[in-house]
Amino acid sequence: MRRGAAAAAAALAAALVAGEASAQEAVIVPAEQSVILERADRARVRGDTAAPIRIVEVSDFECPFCAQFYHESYRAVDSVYVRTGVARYVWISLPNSGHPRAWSAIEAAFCAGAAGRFWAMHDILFERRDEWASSADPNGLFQSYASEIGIEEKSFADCLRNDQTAPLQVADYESTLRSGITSTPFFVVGDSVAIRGLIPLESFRAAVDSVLSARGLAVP
Amino acid sequence: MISEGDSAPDFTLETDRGEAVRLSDYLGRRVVLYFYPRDGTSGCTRQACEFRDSAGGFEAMDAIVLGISPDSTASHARFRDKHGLNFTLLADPEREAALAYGVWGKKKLYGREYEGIHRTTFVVGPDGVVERVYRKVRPAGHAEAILADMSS
Repeated sequence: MRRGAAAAAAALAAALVAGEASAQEAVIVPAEQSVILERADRARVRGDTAAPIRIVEVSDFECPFCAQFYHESYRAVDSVYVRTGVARYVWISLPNSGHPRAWSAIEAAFCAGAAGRFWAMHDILFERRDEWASSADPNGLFQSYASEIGIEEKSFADCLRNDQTAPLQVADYESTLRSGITSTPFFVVGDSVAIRGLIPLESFRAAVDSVLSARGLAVP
Repeated sequence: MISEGDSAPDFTLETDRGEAVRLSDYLGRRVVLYFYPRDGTSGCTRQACEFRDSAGGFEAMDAIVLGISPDSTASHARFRDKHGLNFTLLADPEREAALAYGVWGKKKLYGREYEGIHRTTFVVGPDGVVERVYRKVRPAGHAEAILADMSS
């Protein structure tokens, strides 16, 4: 009798969990390319639009130093400057031609961005870089990451297959090279201070703080 | 359109690595000059990947493969890196080469008319004369067909 009640409770719990899961509908990547590009471009900017300064990161998901920046400094920069409304954070792609999966990873992030999940995909791509960067089927992994962060499977696959975000990737590539940026990571703080390569968090913070001070803004 | 036996019109275009290349730089070698509509589309990707996979065959024939489309050098760099292409892509954004070879013109897709590249391949001999023209190319099996014709 007790076993029966326990089984019923377990079944009820399972049904509730299933109901909860189905209630969270997967987000869809739009089909129209112009909408994808506009949304993906907007999604790779985080933070308060009224923030007084902008931090631009030029990056490549397959670049080991970019991944190291993500692991050592990104979250601190995000919590000190972005979540506090001091800075907006912009992610710009610059794939290294020696990184065979870099363009595909950027494509995955932009397609996720078109569904409003750029930063979730950004985090997964850096956290699992070793997994997809050595995989024979990176797109299969990107597809599974997309499902994991709640993106509807077919719309994401269509976005990748139809090369929908190519113009945004090419525009990033052209604008960074035109600016003389040839390596990653590269940062531009407050549209005035350039940081080339990976530097310790303290130095990064000092650079941001100096821009804030120079503009008479409070240093957090 | 340029036909077999015609002199191949010379041109200077930028490569996927941003270097200027002249067709006449390759005099003395056979050149497979293939015009395709756009980087990244499924047909063009298949065609490019087949040229990539047939690189050994073209090398054995001492032939150079050059792909040309109206895309920019940056777009070509992306296409090259994404698919590991091992041959040169040329950017023809002003359609200079496409017009000179007569491969730019009206096309139809789902009943709609538009202007674009007619997928065409020219094999240019070591003397700069067009040896063979492949019109209305179907991407699948194209590289292999050229190699078979070269060896016969």
